[in-house]
Amino acid sequence: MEAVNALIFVMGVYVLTLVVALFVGVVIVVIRRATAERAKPKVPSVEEGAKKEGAIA
Amino acid sequence: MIDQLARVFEGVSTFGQMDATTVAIRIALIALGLLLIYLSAKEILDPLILMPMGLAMALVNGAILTMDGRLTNLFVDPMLAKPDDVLNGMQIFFLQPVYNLTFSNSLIACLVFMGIGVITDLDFLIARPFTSMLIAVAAELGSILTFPLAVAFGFTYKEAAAIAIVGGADGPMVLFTSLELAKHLFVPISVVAYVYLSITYAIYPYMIKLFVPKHMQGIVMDLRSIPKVSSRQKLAFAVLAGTVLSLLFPVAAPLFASFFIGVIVKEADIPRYRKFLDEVVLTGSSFFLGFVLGALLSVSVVTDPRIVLIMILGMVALLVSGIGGLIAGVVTYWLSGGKTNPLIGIAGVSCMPTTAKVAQKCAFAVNKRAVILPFAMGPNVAGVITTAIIAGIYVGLLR
Repeated sequence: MEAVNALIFVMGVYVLTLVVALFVGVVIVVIRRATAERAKPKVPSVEEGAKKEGAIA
Repeated sequence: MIDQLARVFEGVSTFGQMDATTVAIRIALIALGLLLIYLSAKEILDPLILMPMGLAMALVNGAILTMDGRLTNLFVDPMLAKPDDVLNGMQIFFLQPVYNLTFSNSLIACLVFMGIGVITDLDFLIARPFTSMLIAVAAELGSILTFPLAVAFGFTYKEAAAIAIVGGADGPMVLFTSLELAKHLFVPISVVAYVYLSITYAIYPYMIKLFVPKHMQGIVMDLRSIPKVSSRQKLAFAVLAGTVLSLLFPVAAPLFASFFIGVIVKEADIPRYRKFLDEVVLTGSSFFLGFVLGALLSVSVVTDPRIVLIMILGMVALLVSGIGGLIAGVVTYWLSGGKTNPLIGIAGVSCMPTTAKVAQKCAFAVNKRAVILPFAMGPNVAGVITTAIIAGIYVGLLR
């Protein structure tokens, strides 16, 4: 009986572990998305464009 | 004359003051120590921890003497508890300062974790977080199923949790959990764990051959399928995951802090700190971990007859975790339409980086073009995190 109670207890521990592990996965996805948006190529400013044109010329 | 000789050669004469069983255990421990040295020298077992452990085990059981009317040694006395006794002990036992200042408070486990953090590669974990985490959760099966088994054998919940965590195959976590939950079983559990962790390299390949069909073992995975992960993303993960996990499990926060500080030092690319944590902290703490654990395994300390049960349960925990990881690997193989090598499942058992290397070695034995190590590192790192989560839950619920 004691072992059965222990099994029920430990199944709860396992489910909780799964939930927290998935939460860590969600954290990673959020970080990836957040940093991916920052990494989008910027539209060059007028000055930068002028400098580049100057450099080519 | 004989009395004088007995006083000079006290290590030998103390055999006469012991009963037959204790003499047998003492000789067995010396022999086990010598065997560990031999197997480490042959590189059958991991020499980094087991060489100093074997040496200390053989020496401490040889160097038994009488002090204040009781049999002891001059290495370390883990039974000292009162502050005065500890202070006196530090003047007598040469490893007592290391034990009291780094083992009793889990500092040694934290130092090892800092070193592990600095050699951790987070790329695949961040690229495929859910695959990695789910494989790692499956590879914790031993840490879960061994618990009711240990209770059935008469261990308390606290003791059962300390034994079951061996299935996580994470040495520092075993130290931490046993120190928190079952300090009286800390020595046998930790020694069993470290000896077993070093033989996973020998046992798991046979398990792989038994459970995974040969045609699956050599599957080539496309390295280009791993998206590029920037250092900034890895840094952000280390900071956020460390904060969130510490918030959820304050009892395991020192371990999370140690692991993620290692990761941050690596990703922030601070060469001097990186070199310090890897070459000084990890190497030094591994050496003292092995040496002090071996010195703790003295015949005067190992008196719990349940050590045989702990050895059996520890092995069951590691085997069941391996099976859980392989099952998850095979499921991932089917879900990915045969593109994933199922051997990455064994890497979910978080003995880092040994199990990832085992996966690579077995894949390479079948197909020389199969490079799966970068993929195996994902579940491997996730395994460290899931073991910490389970340890945090066990300690939080049971202490």
